[in-house]
Amino acid sequence: MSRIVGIDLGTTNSLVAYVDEKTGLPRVIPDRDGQVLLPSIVSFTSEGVLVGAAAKRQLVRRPEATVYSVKRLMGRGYDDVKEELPYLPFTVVPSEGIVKIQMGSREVTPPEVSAIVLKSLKERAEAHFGEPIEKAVVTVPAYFNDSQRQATKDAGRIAGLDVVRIVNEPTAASLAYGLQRIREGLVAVYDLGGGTFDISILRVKDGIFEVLATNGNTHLGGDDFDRAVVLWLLEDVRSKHGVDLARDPEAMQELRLAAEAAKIRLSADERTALTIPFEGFTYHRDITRGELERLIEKLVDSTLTRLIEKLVDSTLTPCRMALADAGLAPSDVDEVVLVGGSTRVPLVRRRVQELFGKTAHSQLNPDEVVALGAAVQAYILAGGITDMLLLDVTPLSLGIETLGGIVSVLIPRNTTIPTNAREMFTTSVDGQRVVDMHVVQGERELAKDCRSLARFELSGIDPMPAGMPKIEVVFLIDANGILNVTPRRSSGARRPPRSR
Amino acid sequence: MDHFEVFGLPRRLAIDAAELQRKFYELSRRGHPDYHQGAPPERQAEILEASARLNAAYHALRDPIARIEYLVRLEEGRETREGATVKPKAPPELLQEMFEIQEALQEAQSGQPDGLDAGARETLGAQRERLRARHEQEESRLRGPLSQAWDAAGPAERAGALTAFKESLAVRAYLRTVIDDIDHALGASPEGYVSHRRH
Repeated sequence: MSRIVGIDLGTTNSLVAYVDEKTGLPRVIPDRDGQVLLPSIVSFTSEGVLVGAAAKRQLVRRPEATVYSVKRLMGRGYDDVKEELPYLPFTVVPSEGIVKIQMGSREVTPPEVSAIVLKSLKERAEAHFGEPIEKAVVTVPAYFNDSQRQATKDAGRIAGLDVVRIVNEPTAASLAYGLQRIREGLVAVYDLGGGTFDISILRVKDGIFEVLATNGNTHLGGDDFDRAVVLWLLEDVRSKHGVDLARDPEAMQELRLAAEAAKIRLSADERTALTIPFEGFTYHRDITRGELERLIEKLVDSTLTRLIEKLVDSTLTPCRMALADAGLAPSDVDEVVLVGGSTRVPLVRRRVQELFGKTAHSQLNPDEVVALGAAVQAYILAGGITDMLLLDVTPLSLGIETLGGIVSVLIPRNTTIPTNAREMFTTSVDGQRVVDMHVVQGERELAKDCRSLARFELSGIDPMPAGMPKIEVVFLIDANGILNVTPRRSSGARRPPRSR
Repeated sequence: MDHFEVFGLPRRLAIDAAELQRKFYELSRRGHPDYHQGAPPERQAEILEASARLNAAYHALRDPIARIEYLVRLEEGRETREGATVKPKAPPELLQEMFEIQEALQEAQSGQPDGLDAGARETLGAQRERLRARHEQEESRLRGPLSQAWDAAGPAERAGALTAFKESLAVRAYLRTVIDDIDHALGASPEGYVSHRRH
């Protein structure tokens, strides 16, 4: 089999890794300058498209043409993201169930932007190996739904990569740890990245990594910490200098980057200072870790009403739900693993350790561990490892809409994938030729509150009395967590019904 | 092939959990798609199908209650979930109490977002505890005596055992729904989130 690399396509940073055949250990691939992390930022300039560190330098200079945190837009509809759009310096518009980003006269889709990041990593790997790389394992948050996974696969295709497997980030991390660092038993992986949060509970036994339950929030991460700090600084600038920076996209980017840098410094230091030169005045501010923690903790700002719960505590609710789904108490967990840059925040560590009552692992670099795990999974798929096996689950229940808009669940959340379910459909009116079917994903009772995945028409049914035609439909969730729907056999239909 | 046959088991409810897991891991190792990426496409499709069948079977059988729900479907000749398996039904001895709880819940929902006063919260909390105990009791009955009755039943007694399952499952489903409603009212879980999807 040809070489398969592992890619962590992150909200803030992306990276690529492989397994060294000599040592059997995963390694990240640095770029020519020795940098491992590629900022997931793309800037569309008149001279061409920039990616990574070069694009990051454009954040302040060309905020309206520089896309960051595009992962939060992947596979989402306009309604899903409209509340955070005011905070983005670029323009996002609705387009046939998804969103597009306005770049001057052209529009780009989130997968197209992600593809530029993936292509850069592909080229980095090709330079490293001196050979073409065509296959990759790409990671996604465990709590990504079908549309978000599809969008990620699309991004790979656009970049010229065959995405042979989509792997969940926390489980990828468990594979990296599993190679050397953790004992057998029950493991909780707490993964708080730049834009997403996941918790996965696994049983590790005899080389099998069986995910028991997973939960999370695809809209919660370090970006939200930064936003809380920015709002606080805005208010401070207003009271000190009488200036409102909110309408100035360039100043907002300056503030955001300064807030992010201060947050990162406060993970190591108790206090820090930030100094930003603006037109006409220089803003200076000391921040202590305590102040940052209070900000993160309270975040009850009226403009962020969706985050009613305190930010960090709101990651604990999914933890409790995942434990409940696995039928476990926090104390049953043997090992806790921290993944994602935001787990460097001391407050996050404290809370996680309080919940599980034990010290969490973070020996492997939390920025790199997901890519390392993706490389391990890639190596398993290439046949290089035969004594490890990852059994992951589908994070969200899959169902169909029934009478009254109520969801009938076909595949419950936390079922090991691949998995399938069969459902029999029939007609409700004499002579009916077409049966409609609405497939949704989510945990709510009503279809309208879940994510709509597809509306199908089963057509080509022979006219018969109501209830006579029987059409069997197979719903298969593959190992990527992606749904495939196939009408199977039917009685009363001349030819197999088509779905479209 | 039904889910019991996937594991080479008879259609009985007494299943050793550790043994089932061991067998599941063994079969997964033998037939997981990850280990057959180089196979021709038709063979890969077969492997995917077999793996999906194994996983679906494991999930239906590993939990004693899900196992019963599956058995009921299987015995009634419904391989799919067409139509609800059980219609939730209130336990007769709790009818009066249920009425009061539903009334309190409606009051909570019609009022302002955090309109529940401390007294109402406490009452609902206490009722939820009672319902949880009753729910646990129903589940032990399903896992214990009712499951044993099925395994011991001769052909003539099976219909009766199935009816007992369905009645008990209906009571359990009802209790689960009310407990969820109280959870939502007390803000213990996101609104509309269905908690009972463990299997």
